[in-house]
Amino acid sequence: MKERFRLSPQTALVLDAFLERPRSWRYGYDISRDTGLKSGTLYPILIRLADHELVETRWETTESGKPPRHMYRLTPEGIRSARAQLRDYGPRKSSMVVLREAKI
Amino acid sequence: MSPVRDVARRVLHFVVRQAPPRTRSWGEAMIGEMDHIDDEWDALLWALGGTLALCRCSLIEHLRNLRTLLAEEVSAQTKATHLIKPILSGVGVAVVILIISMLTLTSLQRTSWVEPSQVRLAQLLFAVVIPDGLCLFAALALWRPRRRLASGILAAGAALGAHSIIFFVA
Repeated sequence: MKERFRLSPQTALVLDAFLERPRSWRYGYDISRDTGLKSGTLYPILIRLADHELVETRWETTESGKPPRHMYRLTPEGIRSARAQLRDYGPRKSSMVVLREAKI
Repeated sequence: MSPVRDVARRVLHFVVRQAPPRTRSWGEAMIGEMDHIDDEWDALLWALGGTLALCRCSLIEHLRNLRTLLAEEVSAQTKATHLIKPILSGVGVAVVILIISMLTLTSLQRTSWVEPSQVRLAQLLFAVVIPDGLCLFAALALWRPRRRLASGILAAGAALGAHSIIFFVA
């Protein structure tokens, strides 16, 4: 894993959403609905998490006529790191709650 | 496909085509995801958000590439300077040795110490033997600790020596 990155409230939301089902593959739109983050905020976060090897990606072929979907899940290192980061993030958890309620 | 979705799709496709390769796959992911969103306006918002994200990521990627390129260029220039500087210093040392030797010869020729019959020998001695001998000695002495400086001295000494020998022979 690369150096520890700055954990913004939005990144904390995404990690929190991943940790609800740590080993399940998730779609971008699915995470967007769970966290309330728009694609313009969500994808840079996913790119950064993938760059840090905290998230792995794969393409899933779907029913005919629709393009394949990109799926994401935490790597084992990502699960460990996300748990540790969110634990440290505890005192600032209120900003996550505000964001989640505001669905920014 | 509705006109709204079509516009959204075209915009996102355009941005993905302009994006650097690393970011492009993420753009394709956004396009793929958009086709699974049922609501037309949600799809449009998804595409617009994706467009902004791609523009931002592409800009960051371009700036990162530019920084790497500049760093490589500066590194290459520094390396070239490190390589050339001691060689040029060596050439400078050889030229200084030759100038001192030639000045000595000129001074000697003005005095009565050199017989007219010995002028040619004195010229050979001060223009070739002494400066080239000094250059060879300096190059040998400096070969281990400062090889590039020694190479410069040796190369310049050889060139000046060859020039002088050609002058005397001709």
